[in-house]
Amino acid sequence: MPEGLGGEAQRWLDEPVSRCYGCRKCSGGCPMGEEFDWAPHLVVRLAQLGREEALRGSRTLQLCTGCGTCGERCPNGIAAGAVVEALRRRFGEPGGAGTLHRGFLAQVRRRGRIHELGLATRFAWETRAGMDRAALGMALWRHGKLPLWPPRLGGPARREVAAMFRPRGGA
Amino acid sequence: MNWYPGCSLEGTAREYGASMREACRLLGHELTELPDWSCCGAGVAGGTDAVLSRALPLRNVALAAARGEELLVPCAACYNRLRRAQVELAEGQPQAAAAGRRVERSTGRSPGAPVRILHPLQWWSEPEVLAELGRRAVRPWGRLPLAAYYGCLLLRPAAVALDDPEQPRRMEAILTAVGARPVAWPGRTECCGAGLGLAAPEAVKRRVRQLAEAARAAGARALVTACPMCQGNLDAYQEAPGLPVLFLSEVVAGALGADLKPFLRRHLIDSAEVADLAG
Repeated sequence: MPEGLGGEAQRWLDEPVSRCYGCRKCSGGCPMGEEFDWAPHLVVRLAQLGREEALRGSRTLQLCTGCGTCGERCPNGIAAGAVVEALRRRFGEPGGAGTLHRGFLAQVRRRGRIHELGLATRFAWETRAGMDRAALGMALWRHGKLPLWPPRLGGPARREVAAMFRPRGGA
Repeated sequence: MNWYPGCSLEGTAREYGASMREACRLLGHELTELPDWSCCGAGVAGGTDAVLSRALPLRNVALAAARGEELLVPCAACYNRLRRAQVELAEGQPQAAAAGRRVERSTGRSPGAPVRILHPLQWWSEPEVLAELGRRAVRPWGRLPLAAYYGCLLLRPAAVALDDPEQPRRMEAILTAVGARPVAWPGRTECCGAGLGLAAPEAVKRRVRQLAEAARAAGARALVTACPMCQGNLDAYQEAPGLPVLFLSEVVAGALGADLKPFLRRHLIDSAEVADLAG
């Protein structure tokens, strides 16, 4: 397939974006669409045209929740959300969600499980988060939802999890 | 029965874990925690490493397969990741196959061995369990109007859907079996804003407001969910006075005779009044 018709994009996307005929069912059902700069059908269109660079750092890449509604309703079997996820892998995940998710994976790698208080504290530190989040944190604390101590997973199990982060021989 | 609590059932959703154990106990099943379970990666790992996003859940699938025929997974996100990776591995999806090899190399266990990944919503809505719930409901809910809220992760993608992805029925069947009255409302399968609460709280508040308004307009006295993330968002980001947001396990355990106070006092929105309405 010639450049610009989606052939190039499709190989790394692993989604059949060239099938899209623009019905916009994905965008019609998207629960986050009003927050986006690029609606789901435009994400697919840009990927078709090989112009996905326009999505780097976009609000769409920041705020897609991966709810799967677009993919569930697409009559052509395209998951716009999977395109967004592939673009996050290519460009990096922008915004606060990107910061949070990097902290999340670092914690899984180190501890094997998530310690929510530690994750939220790191996020607040890195983003200089405001007092509204601190107030919510205190409310969760008062209701006993934020254990102080991180979960304890044994050393061998932790090492197994960490090893899955470092593929040898290309996985 | 073996179960996988997942990280949030030991933290922000600990009342989901506690009420799940209690509901299962009252149904005659003691839950045994899967030893050495690790984080499933939630929806997070896929934005960085597509193979890792399958390997993290598959490690737990492999652990579970070595210990029994089924694994109960009450967290909707964990259920989604474990089941999805398992289905993709069976279908030979390339990233899942690579993840399977990564798990075998890192742990020495095979994630391809059979084990049934089971969510309580599936289990409790089987016809014989519905009948049993009806028989054992010593404190039925007195036709209290409740809004069954499914969210995303139990229904999408279709490969892991435990019900019709657009018109699910299973939670309504359970609520009816324990004496509540499920209301018809339009938000059942909409997204709550998922993990964006910390990073983009205003966006989550807009989703939550729409959901709460829709449930209230249908006459519901509370929302019911089987997802820690949905409960967390709806409980934390509603405008006061909020509609209580109950875990399905709390509704079931309450009907089976459990004292709900230790669970409900963990909710940010005062839910005591709803518990008093139970028969």
